[in-house]
Amino acid sequence: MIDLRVTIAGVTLENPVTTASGTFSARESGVFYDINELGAVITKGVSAEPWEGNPTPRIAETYGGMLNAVGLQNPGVDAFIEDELPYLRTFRTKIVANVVGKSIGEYCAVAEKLSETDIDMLEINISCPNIKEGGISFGADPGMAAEITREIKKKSGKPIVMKLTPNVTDIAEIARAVESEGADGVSLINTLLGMKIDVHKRRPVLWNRMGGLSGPAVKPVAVRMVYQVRRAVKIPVIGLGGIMTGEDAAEFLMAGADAVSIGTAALVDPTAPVRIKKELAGFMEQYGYQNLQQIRDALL
Amino acid sequence: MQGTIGSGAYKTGAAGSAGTGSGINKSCIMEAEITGNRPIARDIYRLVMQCGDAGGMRTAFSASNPGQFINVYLRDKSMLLPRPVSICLADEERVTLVYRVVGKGTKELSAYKEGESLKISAPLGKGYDIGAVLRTLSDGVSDGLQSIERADLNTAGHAGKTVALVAGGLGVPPMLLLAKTIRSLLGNGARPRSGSRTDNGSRTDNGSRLNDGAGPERIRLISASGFQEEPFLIEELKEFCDEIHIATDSGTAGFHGNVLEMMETEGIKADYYLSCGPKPMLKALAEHCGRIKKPLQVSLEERMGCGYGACVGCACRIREKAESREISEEKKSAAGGETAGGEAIIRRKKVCTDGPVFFGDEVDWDD
Repeated sequence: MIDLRVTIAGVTLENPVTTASGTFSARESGVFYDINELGAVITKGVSAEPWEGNPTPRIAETYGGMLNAVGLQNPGVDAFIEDELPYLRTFRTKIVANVVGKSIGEYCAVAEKLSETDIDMLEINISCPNIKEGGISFGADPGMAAEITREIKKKSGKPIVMKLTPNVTDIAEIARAVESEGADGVSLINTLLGMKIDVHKRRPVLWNRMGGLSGPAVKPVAVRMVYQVRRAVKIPVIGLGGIMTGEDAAEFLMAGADAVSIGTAALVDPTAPVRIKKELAGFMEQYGYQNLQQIRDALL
Repeated sequence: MQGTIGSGAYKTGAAGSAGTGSGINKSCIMEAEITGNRPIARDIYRLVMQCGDAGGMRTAFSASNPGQFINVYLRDKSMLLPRPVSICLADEERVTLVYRVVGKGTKELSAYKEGESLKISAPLGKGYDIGAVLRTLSDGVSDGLQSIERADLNTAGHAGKTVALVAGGLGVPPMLLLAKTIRSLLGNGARPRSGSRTDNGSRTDNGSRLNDGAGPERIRLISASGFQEEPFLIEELKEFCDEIHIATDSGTAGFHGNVLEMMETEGIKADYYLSCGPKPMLKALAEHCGRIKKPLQVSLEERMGCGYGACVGCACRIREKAESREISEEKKSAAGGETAGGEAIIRRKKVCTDGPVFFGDEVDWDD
């Protein structure tokens, strides 16, 4: 009997498979699989005010991956609480709300409002540009990452998982910084900054010029970073970045992740999260792993 | 916007609603057998697939609506994203796509052979609202954004009215299913009779009149299509349309110029316009229809990620008119998007799920 359960920051997930922020929409994704099969859903980034997102083109394909510059379009926290949350609550799966902002104040405002609801956890997207500091992302520097963690922790009644950006020199340092200020967990990686130029039209393909790279192309970087962060902090780690199969999920677990998120794979195969869960269970049966901790301890 | 664009409401006898949202579909990626994949013009291919018995494919495609598209999943996994392609024709037996080879993905697709299988999605998106067309023509009133349930197909009020199918380039293929569907909904069958009296009895060089008035319920279908140089699917359009007008940028066939110029020069007029094609063409047509106060539905296009509404990559700008909004005042200010002149809110909608078809007067063209 395989035990797929994992507890993160006091919240027990039935299995370690979650949906990555920005790749899941309850009504649309739920047509393809039963949302109850997931360990948790991680929502699209929620901001204090509605965000329109970037002009198109927002999507570009790259070899074994894709670039996105969607720009975090979302209807804002009030609409999320009123329209999205009640629908998500009709399912048994755990709800993690992803939070975005342009200033620490905005993050805190969202965290405060969401803390009054019955969501299970918050995932804080610190890849957003800090306008006050000239646009460098909150997660780019250990000092800023620590500060935003500290401030949100004051306002949040829910466990907070800091979603780290890989566009840094030393991700272990960032992880240690957020742990020291009370983060209940970290998730990594967010997208890698990338670009595609159309040489026939002589211009960048994305309206925003640059965008976030995701998909199989980033997996080696993500696995490496999970490996490094696992050895730097004690708090739980959610691993993501190019997971397409159950074996990929096992790879992240073996690198030290407690749970995984499935993102780009679901864009390509709408049933991916549930398929990957089944494949992971099959992998565990094949090798006789009875629980996830055994996979995490298996690395020689 | 809820329910305003056809998602099957107007199809009589359809088993359940078309498109997504009707329950858990475990076989969302289906395998079809390719029965043909041949060029029909330079760089333009027609791919025909057989519906298999597995996965609900027959049901999915028998309920497909004109204006919907499918995701095509390539074999080469280095090309991650599905390719969205408009449905040219579809029924429970077979599906036809017409596509242009423009990049790596379509180049690979063009090499797939008869007998090989192709992975595709069920029909996606909201197609043309034919119910709105029929209702508008019957009432003589433009529906705009009113919520529509079902067309009253027994109304003969639309007799003698004209619908123009205006298309450019790869916008032409979806017109085929659209023309066929409009014809079949009115129970008149496909082929117009030849040899009947026409208004002025003449055949022009370009606009070929095939028939005029084969029955009291009959809507006249005018096809106005523009191509870069080589027309395609014209013979197929002739099966369902009363008039065929062709324009080419190069002048190698038909009118020398673009579709809008042709419509102006040849005095092509209709009571309702349905369109698909490049953005500049749609924008010019929307302006034209705005000036002559005729209703229009357009099929938009954007680079897509997932094609089913999860990633919000394919955003377009849609104006919500003041009189059609049901939301409260408080919600209006929180709804997001800018106000334009204090009367309408512009929202970012998803081309893949809220569209691809929208009413022409609700699209905000400047981005």
